[in-house]
Amino acid sequence: MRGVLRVALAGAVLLAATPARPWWWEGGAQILRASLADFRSSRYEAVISRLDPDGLQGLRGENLCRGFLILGESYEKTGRPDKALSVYQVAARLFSGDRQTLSRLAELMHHAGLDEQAQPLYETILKMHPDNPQAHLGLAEIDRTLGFLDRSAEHYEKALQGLGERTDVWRDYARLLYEAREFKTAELAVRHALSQEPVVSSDSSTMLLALILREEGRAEEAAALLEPLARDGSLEAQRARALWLLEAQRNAEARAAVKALDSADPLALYVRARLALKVGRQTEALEDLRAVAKQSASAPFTARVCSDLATLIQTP
Amino acid sequence: MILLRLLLAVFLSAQAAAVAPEYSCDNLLRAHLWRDLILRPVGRRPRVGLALSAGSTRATAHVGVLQVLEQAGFPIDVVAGTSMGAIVGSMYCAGLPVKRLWEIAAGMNRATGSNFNAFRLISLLLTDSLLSSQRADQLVRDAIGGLRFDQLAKPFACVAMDLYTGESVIFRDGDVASAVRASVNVPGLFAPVEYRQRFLVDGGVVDFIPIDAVRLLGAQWILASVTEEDYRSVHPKTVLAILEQVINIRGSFLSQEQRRLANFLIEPPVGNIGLTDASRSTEALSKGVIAAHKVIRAAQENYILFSLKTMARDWRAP
Repeated sequence: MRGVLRVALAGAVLLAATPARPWWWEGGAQILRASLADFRSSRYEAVISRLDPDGLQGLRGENLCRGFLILGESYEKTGRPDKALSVYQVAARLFSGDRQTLSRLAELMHHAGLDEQAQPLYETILKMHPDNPQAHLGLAEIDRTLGFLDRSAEHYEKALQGLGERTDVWRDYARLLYEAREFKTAELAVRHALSQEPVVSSDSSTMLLALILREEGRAEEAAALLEPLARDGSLEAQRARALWLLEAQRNAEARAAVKALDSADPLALYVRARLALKVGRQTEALEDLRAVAKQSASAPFTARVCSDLATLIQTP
Repeated sequence: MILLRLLLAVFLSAQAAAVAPEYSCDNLLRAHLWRDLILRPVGRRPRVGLALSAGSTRATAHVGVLQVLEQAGFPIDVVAGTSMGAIVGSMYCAGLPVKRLWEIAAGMNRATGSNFNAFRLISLLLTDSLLSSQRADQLVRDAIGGLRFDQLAKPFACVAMDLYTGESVIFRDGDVASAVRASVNVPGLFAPVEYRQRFLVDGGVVDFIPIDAVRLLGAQWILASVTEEDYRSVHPKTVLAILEQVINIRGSFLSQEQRRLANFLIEPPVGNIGLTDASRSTEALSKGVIAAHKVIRAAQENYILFSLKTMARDWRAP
């Protein structure tokens, strides 16, 4: 199948490169129109079948470029990213100035973690279209992964000029600023995200806001933000709340927060052990710490901390 | 091409299987313990020492490492540097922002650290007259003025070697720029610096990673940034390249033991950047950032685990 696809793509390359066109040639507009109709109706297998090697050979110029794009996207939608990659790569070679083609290829590579290949593609797009928000977003994410937080923030800011309605981008930008310890700006960004979000999907932003407030020294506000999330059963919020209450020496509340968690939860056991240590109940603390130490597969760092702590407690 | 497609399929399937780790147990506990740790004054937590290795242009990667450490809020209590590590360390300890260090490192060229040019090189070969490392002194003096060690914002030490005794000389007092110049003074290329009745050359020959120096400053937990050359992949052909190769092989042997003495290592992959590759300093800076960012959480965890004994004292009932 791969061989046939390659032959078809090579044929398409040859045809697209042919300069002369007869007067009756409409560049395969009919095939494209039908394929587009299938694509819009989510009939991706039909698109793949229609734009088979013969189908592709019927397309020329801009129609071929669009054909490649919907074929690639149909492969993506049907869980065949490797096929989509082949299609986009041929399209990018043929239509190296087409922003959409380069974007699709860059996005696919970036989301697959192939950032070294994606980065130059995004940069090429920005040379042609300096304000392209998707390319700025791609570079922002890549720079963040690599550790260039300042550069990433600049790209996020440019991306948001065109993608201001994207709550997820505001939240990612806020998270980046949190990582870069620019807490005040991070707070503004996550509040912006929260103002745009429907209540049901705002847990992640609320959790982030709580983390930011805590770093700003507003521990009470941060803990208060977690309360409704914890009540609604958010495991992350319950864990964070228990830890933060322990940190704030609100021991009775921390004890109550632990009870809301599963009795085998590693963080619940850790907090309980720390509370037991505070009042000199060493045996209870050891029991909990040893139970967490066994959970190294799911929480290796937590298990290591508890194992070391258990050893320290036993050493006079 | 086929390999790329295979990689893509593997990456995508791995991503689908991965669980978003942001608020995982480990991340929440690390953040909680990290906060507890770094808010403590030194004394109630182990003193953190940063050892910056020698490595000519490669060692500009230390600036990238420093950038990541600062962004992570890593407490750096004392610093020691050898050769180029001494230049970076002295400027950082003088209080120069990392952004400024980045600008200085990115703007470095072959002439920055020496009066090195073609004419001088011919002169070196024909007349046996060594070059002067005066420009290294000037580079540091331009950046931090005439500061003395005791006037620096953070305790700092740098290492040179006495050419007549073979001793490692650790500088912790006096004029900073003069000491750094001695530390960066590549033997065989630059004339020895006569300072305090000693004839000093590059400390990289005896102390490639200045672990002893940073320990002398009181460091209890040591993070070493190491920018060693991958000498096995280099086949030198010129006099200068051969000299550099010999120094790097010696440095590499020395660093084996020093690596073991550090608590945590960050090793930017800059092994193929040579002494005269000043134009690749930006590449070295970037590699420093990427290498440090990859391991910063592991470094935090290592420091937390090392400090657990100190922290646990405060957690137990009186």
